[in-house]
Amino acid sequence: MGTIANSPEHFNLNYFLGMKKNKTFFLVSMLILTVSFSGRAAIANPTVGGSSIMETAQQNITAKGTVTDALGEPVIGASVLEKGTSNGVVTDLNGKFTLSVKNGAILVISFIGYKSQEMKATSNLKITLTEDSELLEEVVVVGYGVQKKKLVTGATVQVKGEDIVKLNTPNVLGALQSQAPGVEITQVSGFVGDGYKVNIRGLGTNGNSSPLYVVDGVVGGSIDGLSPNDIASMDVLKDAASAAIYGARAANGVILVTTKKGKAGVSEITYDGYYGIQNLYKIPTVLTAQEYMYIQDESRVINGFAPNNWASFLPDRDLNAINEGTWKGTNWLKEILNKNAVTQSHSLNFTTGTDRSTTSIGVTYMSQEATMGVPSAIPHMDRINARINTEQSFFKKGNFDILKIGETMKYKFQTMDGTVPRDDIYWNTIHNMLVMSPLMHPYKTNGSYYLYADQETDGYSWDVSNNANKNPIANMDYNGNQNQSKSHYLQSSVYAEIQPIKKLRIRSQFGYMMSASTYRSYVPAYEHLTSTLYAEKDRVSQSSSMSYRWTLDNTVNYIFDIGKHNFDVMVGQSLEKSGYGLSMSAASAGSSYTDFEHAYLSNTQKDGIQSLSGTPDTQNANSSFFGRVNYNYDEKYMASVILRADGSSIFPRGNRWGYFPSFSAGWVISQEEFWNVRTINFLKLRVSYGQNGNNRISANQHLALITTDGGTSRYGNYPFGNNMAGAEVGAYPMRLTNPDIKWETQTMIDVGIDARLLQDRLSVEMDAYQRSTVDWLTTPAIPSYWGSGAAYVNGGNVKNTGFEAILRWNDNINKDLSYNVSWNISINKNEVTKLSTSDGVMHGSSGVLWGTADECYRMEVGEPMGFFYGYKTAGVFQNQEQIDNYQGAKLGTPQPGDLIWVDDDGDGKITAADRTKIGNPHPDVTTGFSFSINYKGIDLSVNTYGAFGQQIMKSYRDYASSPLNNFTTDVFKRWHGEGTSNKFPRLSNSTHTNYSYVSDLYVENGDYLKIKNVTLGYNLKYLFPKLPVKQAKIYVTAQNLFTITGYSGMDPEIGYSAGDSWTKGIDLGFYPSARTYMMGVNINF
Amino acid sequence: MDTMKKIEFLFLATLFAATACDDFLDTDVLTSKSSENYPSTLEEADQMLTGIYSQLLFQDPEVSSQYFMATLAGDECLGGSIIGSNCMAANLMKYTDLNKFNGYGESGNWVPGVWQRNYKIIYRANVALQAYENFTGWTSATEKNRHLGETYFLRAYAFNELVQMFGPVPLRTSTDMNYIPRASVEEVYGLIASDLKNAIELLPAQNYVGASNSMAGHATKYAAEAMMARVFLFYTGRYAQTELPGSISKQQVISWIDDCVNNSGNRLVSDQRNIWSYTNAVTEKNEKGYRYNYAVNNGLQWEGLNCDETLFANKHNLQSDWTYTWWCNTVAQFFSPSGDDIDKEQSYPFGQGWGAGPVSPAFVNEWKEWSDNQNYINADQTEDPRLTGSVWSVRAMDPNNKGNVLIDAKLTPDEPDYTVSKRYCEQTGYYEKKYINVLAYDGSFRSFGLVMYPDIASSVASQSQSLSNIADFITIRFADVLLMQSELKEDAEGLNKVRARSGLAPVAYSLKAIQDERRYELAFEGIRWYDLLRWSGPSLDFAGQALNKQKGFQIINEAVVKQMPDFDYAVRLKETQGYWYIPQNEIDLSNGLIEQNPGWGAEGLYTGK
Repeated sequence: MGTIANSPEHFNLNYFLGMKKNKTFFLVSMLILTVSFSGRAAIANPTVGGSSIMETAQQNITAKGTVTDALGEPVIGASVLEKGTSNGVVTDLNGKFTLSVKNGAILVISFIGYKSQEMKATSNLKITLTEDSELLEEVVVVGYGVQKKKLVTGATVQVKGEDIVKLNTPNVLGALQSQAPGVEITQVSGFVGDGYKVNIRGLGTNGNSSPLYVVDGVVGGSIDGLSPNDIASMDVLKDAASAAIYGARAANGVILVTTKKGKAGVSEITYDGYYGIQNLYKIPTVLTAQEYMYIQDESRVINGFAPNNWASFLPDRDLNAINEGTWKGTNWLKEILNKNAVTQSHSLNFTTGTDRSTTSIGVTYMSQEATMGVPSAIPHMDRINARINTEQSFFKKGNFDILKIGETMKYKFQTMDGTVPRDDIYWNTIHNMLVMSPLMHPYKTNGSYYLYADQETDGYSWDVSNNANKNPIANMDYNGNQNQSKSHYLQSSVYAEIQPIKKLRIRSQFGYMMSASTYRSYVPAYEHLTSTLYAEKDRVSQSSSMSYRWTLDNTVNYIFDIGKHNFDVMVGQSLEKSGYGLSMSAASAGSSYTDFEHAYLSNTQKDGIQSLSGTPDTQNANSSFFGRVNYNYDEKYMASVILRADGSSIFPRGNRWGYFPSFSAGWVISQEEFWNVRTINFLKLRVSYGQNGNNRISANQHLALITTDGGTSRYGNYPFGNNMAGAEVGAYPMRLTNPDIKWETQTMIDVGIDARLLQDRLSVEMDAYQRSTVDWLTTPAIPSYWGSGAAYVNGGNVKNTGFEAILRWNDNINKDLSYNVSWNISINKNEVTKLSTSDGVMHGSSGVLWGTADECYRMEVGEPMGFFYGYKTAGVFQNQEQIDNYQGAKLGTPQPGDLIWVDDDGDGKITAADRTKIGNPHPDVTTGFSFSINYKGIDLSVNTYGAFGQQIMKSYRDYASSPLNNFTTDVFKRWHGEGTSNKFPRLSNSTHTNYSYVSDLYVENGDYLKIKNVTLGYNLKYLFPKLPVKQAKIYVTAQNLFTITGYSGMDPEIGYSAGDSWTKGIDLGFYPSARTYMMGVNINF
Repeated sequence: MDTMKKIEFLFLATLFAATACDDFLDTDVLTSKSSENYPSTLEEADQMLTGIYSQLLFQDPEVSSQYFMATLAGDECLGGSIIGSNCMAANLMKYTDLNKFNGYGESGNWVPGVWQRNYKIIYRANVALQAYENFTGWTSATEKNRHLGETYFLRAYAFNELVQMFGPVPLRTSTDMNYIPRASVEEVYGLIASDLKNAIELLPAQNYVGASNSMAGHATKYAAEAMMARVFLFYTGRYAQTELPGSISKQQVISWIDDCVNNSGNRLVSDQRNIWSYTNAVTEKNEKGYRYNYAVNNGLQWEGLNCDETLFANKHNLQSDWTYTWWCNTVAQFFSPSGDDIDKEQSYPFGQGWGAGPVSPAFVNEWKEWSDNQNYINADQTEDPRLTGSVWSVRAMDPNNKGNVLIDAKLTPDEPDYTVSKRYCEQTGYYEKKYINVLAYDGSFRSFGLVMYPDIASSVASQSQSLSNIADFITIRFADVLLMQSELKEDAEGLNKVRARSGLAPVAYSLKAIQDERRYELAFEGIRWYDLLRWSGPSLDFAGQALNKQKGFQIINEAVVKQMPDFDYAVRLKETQGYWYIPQNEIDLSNGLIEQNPGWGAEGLYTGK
């Protein structure tokens, strides 16, 4: 690969032909083949039915008819099914259908949003479908079952698969972002394949705060990399009462994912594909060479030093070019931009079903290029998702199934080539590019990297002593980009449901999940990047891991009524075990090849082994018992009681079992006789109380783990017996034990209103809640008289108080024009109410903003988790007179241009005790707005998401110890003479408290409103009614079209949290999300 | 409602089953052993014990040894070190910056290190005591008893350091994370006495004397007996008691110390000076002919590691590097004079270190006077050989002006000169040489350990002389045992044995005679400070008077001769009651249960120079 840069054309061609195009082409052709093959089979089966139709033709009649709605308009695509068979058709553009049925057959006519009708088949049917105004009959998933939405007494929100898929996001959570109030979703980064941080109703714990995912009834599944095309619906259980059915792990809320299933009488093939290009729309402007030199000189002069003698640092050629303005220096960030990065997805879904058997199959191929990376090898991701869900009815009696057996299976295979480091200051490519001086060249004239030897030859010696002359692109290429990871994830389940008597369902479901991954990387031998950084030998790393997990859930459900008293009773039991896998990794030097393609351990020298490890997964088991009674009286008064008992292997015997009760009640006021408010046609009050748990810590805190440091490290050894050459191996317990460790518990109270107004056109849901988490699991600072490291303790409380509302307006003006508007808002306040540490503080990491920086976030009682912490400033001293007259506390002997610090504790001195709250990373308000309008086959939808009230901590350079780092043009706002700035202090060519103290200089408001998605589509079926498809929609989409924000950084939506899950909003050069333009088609056969 | 009943029954039945499925929830830890199954072999039982011993070693004494604090606080040595540091004699008793005591300052991390190290010993011992009782793989009762006995010894040893330094301390005997207040001194001594009694009763009547014995370094029954005597004398003296808590009487202690004297197998070596590493042979044998005249002219010959006089010692080896410093004798490193301006040839055989604890001229002068007034067995002998055997007396050369002598303190012409450091303070021309870096020459000046073990030295991580002093740090010595025996029995038998070894004529028993003998025999061994405190009793007068002698003489600060500042140590000692500052972190994290010792508030701040 060493010649890549020498002959870019040759390489690119090879790359294109050899890898990318070929692969895409191959995959697409495979998909098309699959379509044509299985598609044909799927279509053929239900409608033509093979030879049996021929045999029975004589007894058949031809049913004909027209289906219209209440306005007399034809209903297109309504399903007409011969009852008890799989024989059916859909209505055409004029609402007409023709179907050959047995004489005397009953037809079932149905269409989404309308009430189904049954009619005896004749040759001239007129069917008028009435709208199912009872949209509240909508059913939602509530965990181990479903419930009519209008009877739900907890706080849940459902997002339909179609609303997810239409946003064309690579990750399902990206689509959920603007649609579920109370669910705060923030991107971890904009890099390909990176996910989202999800917090339901605020941050409730210091540890892992992600919700529990339940995929097709299997607890603890992953939705990472689940294709949006596979989703039928997502239901979020937000309040503790709803989530209580998942007890011990539901403290952070539960997201239930249901993937697409087949439907009786519907056979469908859909293709959904898009192709798009992504571009970063806002990157920081860094200083040009001339500007940089000017600023560097200023920071010397202001401290009384002579300006730099640039001729001694730079080659004459470069210096002249800079002075003449013919060379602006290197903009490193621009050098690694990948313009028009491709993203594409092709998805095929097949569903079919009879009253005995349903099948749904989906295949999605997705690929995406990174918007930044080593230019010669841009990182990219390829992903394949496959899904097969089937269900068979083995015994049927009347219209209920006595035995049903079904299966769900989802498989993901993902390949990631290369990477862009995007972590802390040392491992963040964007940061590296931002701080690199513009004075150096990235490449030589022949296209190869400009390295240390070239600097020597040219006489380039700027910032060499800090090793800041390291070519960051070459470094990224050599030390981090030549790698590939592959991951496989299988999520499957088999279930059987027995219904011995009507409405008594016994269900048993076995879930199995397997994940496997491999990784290998290559670091070539390379020449000096700096005087000390080079690699004499190359290095190959390889690792692999495999793990699997199973779950078993058994439930019994019985629905019965006594008069108007309706009961839905469920009891169940669940077992789960994980930790069966293992992983291995090794690295070795001295390959007999010189490229990534041959980077396998077997190609390296045996004595080159640098590291070796192999470990088993940590074992984990859960056992649970649970029960639920849903009761309603005449659908007017509802109550629900849930009790769950959970045992977890994480805790010692005796503390293993946690009991999580919940209670909720509802009152449909509009059902009451006295209700006569006609504009409000549905009104329900809800109230709920519940408890959940959280156990996500490493296991065995009740055991003292004994270490011998592998016998090599020496913290336990002792040299008995005058042994000069070594010592006897000693063992010692690594940490203390906490036999009393127990569940972290969350209690939530929720009060809500659901209403529908103006003939159901307006729906409103509102909730207010208080969520208290107590006994969160943490390792506290401990006194050293305990004699060892801390074990986890139950030691902190936090309270979230909030309000959510969602308003939807839905109207059909006439048959050609309909529109809907939806707006949701969430308000949340987070407050720590107790910390176990005796100084009342949980400290954040230091060294986050720059190497020597103090902690910039922490937790304290009375403040939100992870609030920003540092000094407050009150402007800049403009002149000596102001300094002399200043009565407040000063730090040292300030000079004009230095900061005025706020003496927060009022002790007359500026000390560490003056540090205080300077920001809050959590938004006060998040809101989503969406709008769509449909006119004669044209539809336009707009989707926005915004967050308000939060701050961002931003540092793109190290003022404290690397004064020669490059600047962004923000530096022009500095003080450089009286009246020039009263916020940003003067520069300094050495460490100065002005910038080396963590202060509010680094804090900005992070409010933003993003137009996340704008889609304009057209259904070709309108133009060409004869098209042999149900729908053929073409669309164009723009993602991240527009961001309204005052934030100066690249992207205000920042999930980065410096390794502590309880803060976020730290921008060290955050990998921003791209603006994507795409076009796609959606064809429905 | 039949169905409801069925469902109810089913639910209760499953809840009942919950208790039965704990087996399903038990998991195995496969990559580390845990307290649940450790130890499972005899080897692991040994490893567990070794893990406790490991915390005897000092990462560096400044941060983790009571020896460092005791030696600098007592009347043998001044503070030394760099100007403005808390090491300086007066500053140590008060403080200039509490960060240095808390471990937050640029240098110094004093009391937290001792505190942490000893509580690690205690925690590991507490874990081991439980584990040893549960372990079933013992090959004999003796083996089990030995492990338990050594563990009890180590726990008592650690609590003794803590209670001597800090007074009342949390008496931690469990392994839980439970907050406890400081126990009374009586309670702490109750545990120490009971642990030592257990150790004496459990440990086999074996001794591990002899350099080749792989048990060298392990605690023995006799070490426990000697420790009991030390604890008894300190507790009864300092707190004016007649017996140890737990009704351990003087008579009982005497029977143990007699047993130790008679049966331990330890003996006084022929010349006390042969215990110290400057008498080693390789220091003399070198191609360039560098010699240490004092050792050669007195015919001294090192007894080697684990000599016959050692009852208990910290063991060392040649494996130190700058991360793992504690394998070498770091006490020697700290108490060697500063190497800033050293001329190795001139100062041979003494190597450089970090300049702590220059010896007080007041001490040397009293010793000289005492020595002159003694009767000697051999009429030719005119002085106590231990004075020049313990103190390196120098002509202190001026680093700024070659040939200029700042102070000439030389007691014998056999000693090398020393060029003082431009940075260090409180230099008196006297250095203790029991624990000091000693060089040898084999083409270059190297630590004697590296020259003595060339095969091992060739492969060790660091060749630094600062990391290669292998001498034992002896914490219980047989001479001490004999003197304690005398003091307990109030007869002169042990006393005169010790005197006789150094050629001093027998004397009648008196407490004064014991006090003098202990002072000179055990000088610079970390004993004196605690002797001063215990002979003072609750009034602390005796110690205060002794400390106040550290003034009125000349010292060299940063290569300039000055007068030792005047400071009333007696008053300060009463303010603190002789207890050190409790690490602030322990107070902050104590749930309000731990309070600071008296005298360590703002009033203790030292404002002198």
